[in-house]
Amino acid sequence: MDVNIVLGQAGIYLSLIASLIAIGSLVKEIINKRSSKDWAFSQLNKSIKIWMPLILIGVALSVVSMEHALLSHDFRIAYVAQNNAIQTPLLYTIAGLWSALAGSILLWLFILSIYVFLFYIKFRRSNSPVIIYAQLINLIIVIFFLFLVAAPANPFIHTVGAIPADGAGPNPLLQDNPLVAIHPVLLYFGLVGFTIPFSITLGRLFAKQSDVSWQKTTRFWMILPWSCLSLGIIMGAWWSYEVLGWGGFWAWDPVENAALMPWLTATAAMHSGVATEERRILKTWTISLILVTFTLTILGTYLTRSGVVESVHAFSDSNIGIYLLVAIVAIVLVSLFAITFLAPMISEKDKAYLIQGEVSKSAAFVLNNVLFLAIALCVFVGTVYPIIIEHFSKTISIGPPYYDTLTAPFALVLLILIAVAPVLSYSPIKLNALGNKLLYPALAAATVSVLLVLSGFSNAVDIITYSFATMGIVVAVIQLIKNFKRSKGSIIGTFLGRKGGSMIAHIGILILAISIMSAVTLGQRGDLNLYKGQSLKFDNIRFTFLSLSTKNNPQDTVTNAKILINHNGPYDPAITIFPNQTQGIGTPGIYSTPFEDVYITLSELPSGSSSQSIVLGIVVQPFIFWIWTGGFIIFAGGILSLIPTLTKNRVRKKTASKTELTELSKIN
Amino acid sequence: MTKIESDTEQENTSSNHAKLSRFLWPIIFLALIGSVTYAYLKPTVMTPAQRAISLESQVKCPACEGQSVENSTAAIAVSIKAKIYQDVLKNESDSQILNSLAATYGQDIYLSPHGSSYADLSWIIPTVLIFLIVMFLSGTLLNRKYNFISFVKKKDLQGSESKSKSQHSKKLLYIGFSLVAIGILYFLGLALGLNLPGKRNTGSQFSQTQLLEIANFQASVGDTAGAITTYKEVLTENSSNTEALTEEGWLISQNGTKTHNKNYVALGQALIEKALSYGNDNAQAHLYLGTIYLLDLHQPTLAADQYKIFLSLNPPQNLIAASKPEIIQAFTSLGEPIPSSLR
Amino acid sequence: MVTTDNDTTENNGQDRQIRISKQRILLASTILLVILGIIGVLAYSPAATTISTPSPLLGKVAPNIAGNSITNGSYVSLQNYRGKFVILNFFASWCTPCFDESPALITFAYNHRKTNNVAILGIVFSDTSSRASNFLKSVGATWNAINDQSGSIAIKYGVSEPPETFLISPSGIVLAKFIGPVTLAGLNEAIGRYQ
Repeated sequence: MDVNIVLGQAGIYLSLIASLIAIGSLVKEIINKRSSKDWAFSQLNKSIKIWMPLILIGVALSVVSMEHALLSHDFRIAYVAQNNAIQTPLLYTIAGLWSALAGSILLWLFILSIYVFLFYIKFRRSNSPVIIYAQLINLIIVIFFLFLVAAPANPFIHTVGAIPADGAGPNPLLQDNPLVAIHPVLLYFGLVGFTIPFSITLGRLFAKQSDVSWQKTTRFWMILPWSCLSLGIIMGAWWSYEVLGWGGFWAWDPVENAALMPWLTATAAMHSGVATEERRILKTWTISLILVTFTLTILGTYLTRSGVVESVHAFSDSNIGIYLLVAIVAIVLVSLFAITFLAPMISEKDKAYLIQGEVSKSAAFVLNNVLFLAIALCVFVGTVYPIIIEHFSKTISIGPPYYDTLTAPFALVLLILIAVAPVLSYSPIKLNALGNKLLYPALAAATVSVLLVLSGFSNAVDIITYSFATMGIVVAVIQLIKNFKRSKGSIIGTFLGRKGGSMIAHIGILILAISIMSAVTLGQRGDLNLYKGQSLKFDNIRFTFLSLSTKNNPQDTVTNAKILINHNGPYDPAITIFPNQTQGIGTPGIYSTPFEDVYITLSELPSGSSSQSIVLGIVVQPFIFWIWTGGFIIFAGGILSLIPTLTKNRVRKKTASKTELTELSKIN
Repeated sequence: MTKIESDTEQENTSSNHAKLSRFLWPIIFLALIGSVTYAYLKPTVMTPAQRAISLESQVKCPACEGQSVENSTAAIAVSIKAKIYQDVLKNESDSQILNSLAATYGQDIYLSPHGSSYADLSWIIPTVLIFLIVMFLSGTLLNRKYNFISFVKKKDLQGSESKSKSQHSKKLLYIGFSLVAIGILYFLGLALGLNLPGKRNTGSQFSQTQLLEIANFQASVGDTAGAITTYKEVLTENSSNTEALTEEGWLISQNGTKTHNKNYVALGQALIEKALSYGNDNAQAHLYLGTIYLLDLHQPTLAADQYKIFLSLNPPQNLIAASKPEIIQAFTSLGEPIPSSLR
Repeated sequence: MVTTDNDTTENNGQDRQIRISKQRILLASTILLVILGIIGVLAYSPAATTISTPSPLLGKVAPNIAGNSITNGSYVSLQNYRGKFVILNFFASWCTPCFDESPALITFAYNHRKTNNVAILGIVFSDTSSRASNFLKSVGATWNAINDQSGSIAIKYGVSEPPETFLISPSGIVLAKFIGPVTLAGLNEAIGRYQ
């Protein structure tokens, strides 16, 4: 018997038993206490004290056994035999855990149990019914994934028949770039993390707690997953750029969309959540967005893991799709029930908690939500509609032109909003006051637009993007300077907390907007026909073809060209041909600077090895480097806002906003 | 205490600010609107390669998993790219080029769906849903008596307040605002290149005959590249101008002969054949085609056929004289008698 | 972040009586129905790879093909095959499934040698003439094949990847399209339907 299989399975069943017992004691407690009016659960946390850590330990045990099996190339396990080979480098061996379906569900479960455990630790002394319900919901979700790992997606299955001497190795696309080891983990930390806000919110509704401080707690637990998801999506884009060989970073592929949809709704929820926290408005709305976000993460899991969509990122066909659909139905039923029947009990009925004024922070949050939701909706329809249509035996393709046309107008309005909204306050603001606040940022925008026109730009959308992104960055910097003044020159007070972190995240988003727009509209594409030793220019860049070599390996044939880009390099774009595959896999050569990326691929294999001529595909795009940088800045913004500023500052801010209000009323 | 100080300071600066603001805002608006409008109205000429790339990005690579032809290096994608580029050089319209692909691959080759009611639905559904969301949210927001998205009836909150005149004027303001918003969205749509009414057409200042004269002159002084561009300009106005098609085709095929590039020869031939498809009595075109068959494609039989049609159309003597040696070569290599008009 | 103590909150909603409006329930049930509908369809969705659109060429006149045969250099035109069923086979020497399907094609040609009412015409997809003719020789095929160097024939026929095969009627109409390797049974069935 294989030790890895035994330990792996044992871990899963250990967790399964522990979580069942924990659920049992929670349910017992709820039933006991619900009848009485006493909602103190002081005893409860003692009863689950042993079981909560055991769940994490069990799952960790099976993750460790799987990693051990991968590292020791234990081909007695079918999963290892299919996704690992003796030759596989260490990094991709470790990444083997998430390079195929069964392992990826195990990783999902592992991250889920980490989050659930952290949540337990954080609230172990709380006696609030909200926490009890939230723990219960967490555990039910854990049980569901434990079931998936134990039955339909079990990675610990013994190889059928003779044990192979060597494994098949991971998918060739997955052993090309180290990013493959990072970006899925980040994505999972993002997607899985939305479980906690979901359970707190449902817990709040079941316990009928209208206190908005719960909203604060929810948003806190949303920031970490949101940051990870943001960076994960950008790292995924980076991976496609580095590996797929077409010079782009986003293709509106169903799998990319599956991660983008929860990001969009989560971003909306984080914004409206601020309004709920500070002004008790948009309560039900924020709750709905949080529930929708979690539903979309499970829908995304379904789309990527059931084989219903065609994508380079999708996992192969599997049988877990139906279980995920059942889960989605359950989530939708519970969420809709909660929003319809429970949410009215905690929503504010007082006139004081209505939106005030059209040019105010709350109105800006509403507009922000409309725009994010509109984009999410377009992405949802574009992703799901073709699948639905196939059912009526029609096929249509929905690709980049569709998404670009539908989402671009909303994205542009969002860009204008991000440049204006941070200076608004909750009380309505007069236009002159707004004009004063926005004067310098708008001046910057106008200058940029005039400079662009003078330097010959002829794309109106480009000019709108650059000007308003500049304006947004100036606005964000001004807000940061205000933070700096407010915290009396403390750097910590400037960047930490929600006010600091959110502005950093805004700057990241705006850098992203500028760089994406530049890459898309100012990029140049072309082909060069080069003979060995020849040197030709494209877009004022000189390409010199030095040599071509072909290596026949047992598992593949690699053709490699050495190319000088100006005087840098040599860069070596390659084509790898695997037997039984009609299409070769191209590996690009990338010369990257902060100003410009030169991306070269071997377009065509030379016909006959003697001819020594190649067709070089060239993509020259500006500012690609800043896309990835923007991703890191967004991540940093999220993390910074998690770290609370000093309480002193908080008190001062409150008084400051009060004086601001009185001042405004004077002006009025 | 420090608080108050900073507040007065702020007030001082803000009064200076206000003066500056009144003066600067009109300039800012003017600069922003002016530069965007200028950029929008500035005629942009797409090179054939750019046009080809934009078409490639609208077509799915039939052998791939959801990639566009532009992004794929699969064999068929490479062929489709070549076909699109040739069609662009032949000055076919975007819809002609895309439709010819959809005719053999099916409508799902389009990455932005159209051509069936199912495809139209994919545009209608999100539009309607977004419209509903906007109505729902703006309704609850603008009509402040509604509590936000919780379905509290108006009268529950209305109290005894009656509608005042200021509320009416506010409504007018909202209508104004929404009209402006619609205008901005429309403008954005135009800027994004959507096919909305009012889409700008780039036209040239010269008449077609003038352009043809320019092009012929350019060709006669040896500016082949310039001549080809000018012929193309004629063809963007009127894609069935046979003279431009014929001459451009000839120049391109000549270019191909010089650079030993068979693709150019084939392209030139295709353009001349296209010119002939609009009318078979184009003597010049038959002459050019014959010469291409004879000298570039080494098919004297086909060349002789073309020359026979050419001669049957009673061409001007100077044309015959210019190509006499080629015509005689074609007939003699086939052993056919040389027509009387050549002697 | 602060852990909250909610027991003393004045708004603790347990005792509040709220009437849920009919509109709210109506909206919720509409959303529920739509979502359940979508999920129902998803539950019965086939895997993405099994679906392909029927060729728009079916029932239409086959686009003409002409060129020199790579097998014997003679001039071949699809029009010259009128009066016979034509099996138009797109293939390449680098394509493994093309190799797999060749026995079926050869047997099919052999079975119809007496009636002489079927012709096979190969179209070389993205390959050199010499490699393609060597491929045909190695599998024992004797039919004509045209090299489609520019891929224009493949585009005319809406071909994505070899092997793809078309059945063309004696009058020149496209009757059927096979994506992937053909089988003898498949060919017999298709031709039987129109004979």
